[in-house]
Amino acid sequence: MSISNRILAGFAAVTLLLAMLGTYALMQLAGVRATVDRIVERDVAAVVQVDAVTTAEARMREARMASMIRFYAGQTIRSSERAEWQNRLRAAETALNDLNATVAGYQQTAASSNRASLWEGMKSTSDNAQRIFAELRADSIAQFDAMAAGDREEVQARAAAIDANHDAFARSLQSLRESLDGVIRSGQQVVGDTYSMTRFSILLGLLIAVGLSIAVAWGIRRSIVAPLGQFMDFVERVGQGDLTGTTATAASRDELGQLGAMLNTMVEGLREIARQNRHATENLNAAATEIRASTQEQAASVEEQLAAVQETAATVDEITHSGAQISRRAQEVIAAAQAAANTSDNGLTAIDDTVHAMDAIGEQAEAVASNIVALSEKTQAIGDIIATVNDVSERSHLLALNASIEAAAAGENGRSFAIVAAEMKTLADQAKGATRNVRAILGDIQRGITASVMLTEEAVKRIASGKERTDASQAAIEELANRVQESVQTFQQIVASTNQQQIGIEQVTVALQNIRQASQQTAASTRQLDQAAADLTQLSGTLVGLTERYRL
Amino acid sequence: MRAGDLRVRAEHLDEAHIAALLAERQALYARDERGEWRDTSELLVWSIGRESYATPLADIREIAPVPHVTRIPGAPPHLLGLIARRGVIHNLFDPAPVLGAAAAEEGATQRMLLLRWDHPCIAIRVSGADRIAALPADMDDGGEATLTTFTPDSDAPFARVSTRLLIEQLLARHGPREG
Repeated sequence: MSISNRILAGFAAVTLLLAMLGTYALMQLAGVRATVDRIVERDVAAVVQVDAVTTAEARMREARMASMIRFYAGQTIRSSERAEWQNRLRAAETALNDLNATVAGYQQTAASSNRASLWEGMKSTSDNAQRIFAELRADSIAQFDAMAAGDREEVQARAAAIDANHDAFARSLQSLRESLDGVIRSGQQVVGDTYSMTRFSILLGLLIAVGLSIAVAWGIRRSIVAPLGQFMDFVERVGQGDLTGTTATAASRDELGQLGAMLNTMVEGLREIARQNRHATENLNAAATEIRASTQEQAASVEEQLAAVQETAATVDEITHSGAQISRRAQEVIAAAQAAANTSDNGLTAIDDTVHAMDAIGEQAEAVASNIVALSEKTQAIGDIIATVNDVSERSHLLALNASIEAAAAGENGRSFAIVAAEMKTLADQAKGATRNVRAILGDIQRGITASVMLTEEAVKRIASGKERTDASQAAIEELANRVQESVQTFQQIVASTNQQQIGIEQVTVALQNIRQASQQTAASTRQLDQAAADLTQLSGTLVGLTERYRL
Repeated sequence: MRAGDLRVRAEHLDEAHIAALLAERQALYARDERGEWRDTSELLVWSIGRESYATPLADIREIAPVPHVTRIPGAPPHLLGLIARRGVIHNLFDPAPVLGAAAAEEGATQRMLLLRWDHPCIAIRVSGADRIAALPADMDDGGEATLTTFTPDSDAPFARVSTRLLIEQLLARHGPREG
């Protein structure tokens, strides 16, 4: 059977089960309804009959009581009244008999054993009510006979018995009603039990239908999923690279069998392709490995070449730097030497000026010395004058003292002269003090002149010595200027040679830079080639790994 | 200077200096008028070396430089010799030994005081005659002691020499050798 037919059959089976379950449920609902109708019908009929018996007995009693009232009123009981009472008696007996027969019939066809026992109890109560009703009938007939006879006592006596029987009959009817209530409750119980049974049976049928549906679905699933699982396992093995086997369900003729056959064909094609890929990738991997080795060797040699070129360029740079530094230093030395030459020229000029100045200073020093000597002679003359003045002051001092002495010898007459003498003495003292000061100053001047003479003589000597040294310095500076000039010329030649060397080195530097750029480009290309070879090797290795995943 | 006064002129002195000198002279004359002269005795302050001595002006005849001294053979050391002054022979003494003073330095300027003492005429050699000092009369004991030390307020201290006792001691030292 094909998969579509299997699914269709399963769906039909499930549908049939659901239809059977619905039919069963409807049948059960009909049974419940019939049971309820019958129980309600019987219970209502029994109630109606009990009410009919009660009503008939009440009408019978009413007729008898009316006859008794007329009797006690002294009236005569008419035959019609008795006939009426008898009619009502028969109606009551008929109703009671009908009730008894109905209860007996219901007892036989009771819906349950409980209701049967209840109907049986009502039957016995009804039989008891018939017995009491028979006694009540007899006493009532006897009372009517006594009323007809006018026997008041008998009527009274029968009335008591009738009342007792009537009470007993009423209690029997009440017992019937209570029994009927029990029957009704039993009927309700029966109806509830029937409903519960019906619901249980429907639920059971539903469960059975569900179970059968699950079983059908499981069977269909199993018939479809199991081959699919085998296919999935097979495809998973193929996906993992296992191309060695075939699927086991290829022999069936349904759709799954056809699918298995197609899978087997596909795996066979994949197996052939994988075999070819493995061979090609192995060849590719070997070639890529060889290319990688070659590119690595080439990269190493290019790196070494680049390093050598860079070292050479660095060395040339250092030489260039050193040459530039040499040229710069030589320029600085030339400038310094030129400055030294200028300085030496200035020094020569200064030395010439110094020589002239020294000569002038010497002449001036000699003139100063001559002047100082003349001044010293004049100070000597001043000293003689001062000595004379000092002597004069001394003499004036003595003269003043002698004048004071003479004034004192003259007594009172010489007072005025004593005053003049004192003034003369004061004047002589002032002259003496001034002379002393002038002498001291003159002494300082003479000492200063003497020192000046000595210093001047020393200065003249030093000027002569300075002139000799200046002449020597002049000769040394002239020689130094000549040497510096020679040095300037030498360094100028060095600078010229260095400049020519720098030009050649710059050409070498440019060439090395070109070589270095070419080497860098070659190194970059080689690195790219090496990287490409590495990628190719990795790719071929990956391809080999991928092809080795397939087991042929 | 008030109007009508004698106008005094002096070369190299201005009017203020001249006025100060005249005022000082007027004060000195005023002292004379007040009799203050009679309350003081004037002394000549002279020195031997660094020591200062004073002799009343009345005991001194003249001050003069030391002229040529004629040595006297066999004379005591403080008798320096004989000098002639204005035709009068004087005995020149060195008072330093009598006064206990140190001898004057050789070569220094020397003066001689001719004392008013006639028999014999006496002169003493000193280092110098400095000034005239006025001593209150109540402080001058009149020569009771050979040396009396005074300390004026404004000048250096000096010792008043009693001329009579000095001459007596000089002559006494001279006498025994003669005897």
